[in-house]
Amino acid sequence: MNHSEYIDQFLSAHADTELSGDELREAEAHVASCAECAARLAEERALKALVHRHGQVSMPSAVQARLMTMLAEEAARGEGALGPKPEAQRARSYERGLRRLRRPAIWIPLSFAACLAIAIVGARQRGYLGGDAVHVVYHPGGYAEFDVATAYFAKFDRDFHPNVPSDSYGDVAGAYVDAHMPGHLWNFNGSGLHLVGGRLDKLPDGRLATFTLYKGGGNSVMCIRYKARTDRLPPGVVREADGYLFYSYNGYSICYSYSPIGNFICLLVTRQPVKQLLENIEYASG
Amino acid sequence: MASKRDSTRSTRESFEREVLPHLDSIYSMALRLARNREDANDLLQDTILRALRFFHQFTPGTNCRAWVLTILFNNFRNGYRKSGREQVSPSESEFVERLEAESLASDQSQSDPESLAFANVMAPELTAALDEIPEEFRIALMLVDVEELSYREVSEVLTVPVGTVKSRVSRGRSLLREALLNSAPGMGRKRA
Repeated sequence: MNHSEYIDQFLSAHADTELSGDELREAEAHVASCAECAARLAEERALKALVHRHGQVSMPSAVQARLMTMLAEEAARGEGALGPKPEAQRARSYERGLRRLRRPAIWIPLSFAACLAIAIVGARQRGYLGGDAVHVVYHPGGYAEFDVATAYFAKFDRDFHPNVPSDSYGDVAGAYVDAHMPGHLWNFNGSGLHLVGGRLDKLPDGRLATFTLYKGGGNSVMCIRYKARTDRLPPGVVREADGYLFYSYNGYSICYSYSPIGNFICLLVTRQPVKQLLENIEYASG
Repeated sequence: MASKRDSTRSTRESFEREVLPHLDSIYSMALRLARNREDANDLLQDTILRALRFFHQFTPGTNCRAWVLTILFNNFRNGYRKSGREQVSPSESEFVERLEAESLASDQSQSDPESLAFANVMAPELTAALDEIPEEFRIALMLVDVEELSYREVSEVLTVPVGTVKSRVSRGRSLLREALLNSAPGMGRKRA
């Protein structure tokens, strides 16, 4: 490294501690042997410090007070304020529905998820998102997302391999949260349906989804959650209750709901009749 | 067993814990971008409100200041530029004077030995020198030197490649150095 090479290509990055490895070693060696470049490095750092001090401005207390008032007002507007704005209005109605049903969801705090992170990273490295091939039959005139959901249900109802720690609701919820997916789980124990386990996998279009399977008394319910791509509601709703939309679809019953917290869709898929699925949800609601 | 309301409260508490400590930083950058207090306050409020609404998209463990600054720049580009509000207001000179008065650079009790190289540079001179630098270089310098972001974080905030950030910082600092040395003959340093 010569003098002009250092000044032109390395000086600023060196002062900004952006060099590493061989580049850093070469730069350090050059500066150690070139007094002029050593002076330029000191000058560069001085300039950096000067701009740093110059640019720092404390927020006036009046501005801070206005900001805090604005945040307090936003908080007072309620939960619907959190979430993507374009869907806010419809989303809030779903949120109200969720609150009215008061279903016992399990929320595992991020701190708990962090405790699980090491184990989960290990699991991921062992082929976490294996992506079991699922053959989806798209029905003419049908709803593609329901075709996908029912195809996954059909496969996982027969052959389900949890790929997240699934010894408890907490294990599953923590793993989902760690993957930046919703950690809310259903508790269908009151309906005789018990948690089998959870799985993180990708949908055919690449979106990450959670698959949570519940079984009991010869019945199965699968909950699938993934990021919404559209705010278009699925057509053909047969029943609506407290923000949940129910569908009969090619021999399956599907409950559709939407959460603006993260813009997620939740689909409950089962072979049970719609009436039974609704009752399961009501039982789960306590 | 926590309810949905509790999880929302938890999200809001996370927001306050992660975002609020960076308000001074965000305010400083809003001032530098908007160039007058009224627009800076609007820009700040829009940014914080948007950060609250989209806080679910923030990845815990990453640099929250960089994340909010990304929103700030998006707001500035999309809203303020379109409406022409980035134009310097008639009261800019007054604004700059007050900004200099508030700037920590006006504190002459500098003890860092490295700062001695530019110890005689006063806030007005630095402001003038910074104003001489094209905006793209000045903003890169502000993000690296004032906000203390890494080149990678700046590349995400400005949506440009890391190599572009590196060259903008290098060029910006070189231009700033030249401007200061040319404008401050009393510094007793040789011209670049």
